[in-house]
Amino acid sequence: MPIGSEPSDEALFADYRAGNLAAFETLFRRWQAPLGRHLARMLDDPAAADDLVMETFLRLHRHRARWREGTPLRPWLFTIARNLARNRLRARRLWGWLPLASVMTRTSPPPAALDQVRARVTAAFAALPSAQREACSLRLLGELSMEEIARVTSVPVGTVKSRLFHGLRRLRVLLADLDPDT
Amino acid sequence: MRTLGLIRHGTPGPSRDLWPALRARLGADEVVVLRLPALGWIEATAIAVAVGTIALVPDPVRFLAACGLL
Repeated sequence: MPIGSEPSDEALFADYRAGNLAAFETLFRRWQAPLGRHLARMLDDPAAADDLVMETFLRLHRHRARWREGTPLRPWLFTIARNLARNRLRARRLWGWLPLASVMTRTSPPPAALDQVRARVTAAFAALPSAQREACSLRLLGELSMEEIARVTSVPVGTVKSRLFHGLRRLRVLLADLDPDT
Repeated sequence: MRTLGLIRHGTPGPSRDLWPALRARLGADEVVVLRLPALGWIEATAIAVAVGTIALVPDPVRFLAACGLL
């Protein structure tokens, strides 16, 4: 998401690989919010999302030698995040089989304490099929292009367009009473 | 599209600046900590004796064997 004369993600990452830590900080600060929002939406857990944002960038750092200059960075970044989120969800499902899960659930804040808009948006996303939810989250919160979403999710661009079309239409319907323009 | 604004407003980003925590973890990832025991007079004497033995004794192996150390 470079603005004006700001360096691209790829230029920053190349700088970082050359030893410039400040470039990595700029890259992190550029993407921590969009990536964090996307992960929070996918996991429904802001604390876990924060953790995975850091883990994603830590993986980026560990595997920095694998990146080939000239290849776009964002799809790689979001693919790492996607794999981490899937592992986290898988682990959560596994924990769901154990009695401890009920104790863990009780520790989360009750929905009534959440801001109404946040609760409604959470419910609207939860109502979408997972593929549409992921596409909408990557587009609206992760700020990725259609082509980048296609690379991250390993599906054709046409499939991404279809998922976005149906997902956004459903979101508009579900949130219509909060939006005075509709 | 106001729905987009609603969705972004309804999805808070990280609640705090995560960079300091990540910076610390990056540092921990890079640094290999090599801990050596503190060098006291006992260790210094032992090193001096070992070096002196090798330097001054004509046949250090036979000398150490005769001392019952080998």
